[in-house]
Amino acid sequence: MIEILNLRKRFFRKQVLDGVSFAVEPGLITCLAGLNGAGKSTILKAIMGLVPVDGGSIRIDGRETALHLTGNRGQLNRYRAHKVAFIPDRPAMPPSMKMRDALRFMADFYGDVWNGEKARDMMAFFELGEDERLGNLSKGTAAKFNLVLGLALETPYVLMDEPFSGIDLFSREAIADVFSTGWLEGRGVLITTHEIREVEHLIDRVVLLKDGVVAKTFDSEEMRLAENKSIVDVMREVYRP
Amino acid sequence: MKALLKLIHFEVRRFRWFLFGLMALTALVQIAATVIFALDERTARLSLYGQDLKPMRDPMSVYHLMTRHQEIYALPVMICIVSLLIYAFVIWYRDWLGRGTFIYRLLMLPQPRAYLYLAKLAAMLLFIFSLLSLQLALLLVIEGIFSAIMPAEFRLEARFADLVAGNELIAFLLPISPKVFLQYYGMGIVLLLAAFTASLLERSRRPAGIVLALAYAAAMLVIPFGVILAGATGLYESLGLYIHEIIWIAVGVWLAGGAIAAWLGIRALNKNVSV
Repeated sequence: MIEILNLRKRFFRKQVLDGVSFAVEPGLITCLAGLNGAGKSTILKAIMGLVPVDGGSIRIDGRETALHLTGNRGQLNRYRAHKVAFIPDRPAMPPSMKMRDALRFMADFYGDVWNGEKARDMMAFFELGEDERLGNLSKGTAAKFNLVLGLALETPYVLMDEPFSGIDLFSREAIADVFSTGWLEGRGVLITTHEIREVEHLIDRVVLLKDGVVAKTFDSEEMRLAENKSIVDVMREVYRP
Repeated sequence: MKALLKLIHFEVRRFRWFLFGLMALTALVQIAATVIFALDERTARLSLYGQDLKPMRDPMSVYHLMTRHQEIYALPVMICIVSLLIYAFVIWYRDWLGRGTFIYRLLMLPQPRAYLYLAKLAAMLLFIFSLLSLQLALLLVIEGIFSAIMPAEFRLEARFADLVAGNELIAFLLPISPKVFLQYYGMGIVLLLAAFTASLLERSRRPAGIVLALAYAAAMLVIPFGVILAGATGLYESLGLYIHEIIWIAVGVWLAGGAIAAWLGIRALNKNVSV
């Protein structure tokens, strides 16, 4: 389980996170939602050690990984890379690199965490060639390839930052299809997205951020059954009271 | 260790075309200059003396040729130096800036982040010493070209040390004395570490990081160079220090500066940098 406890982060004069706590459980898809600037991406980056936080704790399967408490000494980067795959909103590779080279880079550096067979399957699933340079890819193709880079890492947790951002309908559908395949089976997923409707039926739990804190956490299925409300309905209540 | 070597290889590959470009430019300019100037000198001598090739009439060596055209031989070397100075910063910033977000990947790799620092440092040193090696090889090539063009009657042989001394900038970059070589390149490595650390400090505390980085860079220039310049003010004489004591103080300050720079840089990479 990834446990976020009392996370605090200030950017200049703005307290973006002011004691955020929630958990990402294995086998569940958790959606972290909020308005623009709510700190969703910051939380994902903080989990990966890409942004230092001012306070609080980030435990991955019981081990503390928050930079201000641990730094990145010793094997922490290795531990984190074996536990969590992060899929940012753009491929985290040089634009001049070809897709083939990016796949080779991942295989070279991630070793046993990288599943080359899964990567090939996903490339075929998305009908991606390997010869194009990342800088020349359309947004949709880049988003699909980005997903390949992240999901071919055999980690128990996956973080996705806006996987549907700025891409066309068919690419969105293709990406949403990934959630129905076995590639996410048993993995704890934390996703941030503004396109809730694309994946609403797949989301197990929702964490709504507002004013730097968790405004509401709920189980989407329970909410549907008990109150006949969709995730978007609850979001309207929280963000437009 | 294998991961570190892979990272070094990766960094070198990313810069290879630019490095080859710098190498080609240096070779082209220096070889072309040698051909043109040596032909000029030969033509001048042949027209002056005709076919009367008496031994040792107004002879010259490649040393003289390089001394007479200092600026042409120094120009590509200067371009290489400036390019590497700029790249000492670009090697970090290129991963942060632009359309890609490669720094995400680098910081997430399942290796200690210190490897990134070491890989970039090793890559920079490889670039520097590759260019130096090329320059050494080019001196021999230049000598060969000069010998081929200039008739033996007008030519003086030059020792390798003379070739190096033929250009002030090359002589500065390739000191004959191993002690001076160590001193120059030791100082260069400390300044490179300082450039890395300033970049990482800036990336750690944005936007105030720029102030922190500039303050750090100023301290790294003022203190280590101050120790050297203090000698010129007579400070050490007034303190009654012997020359070997002064040297050890300077070496100690520079080594401490290098160690602090590396420690600060790796610490920033581990704890403070943000994407």
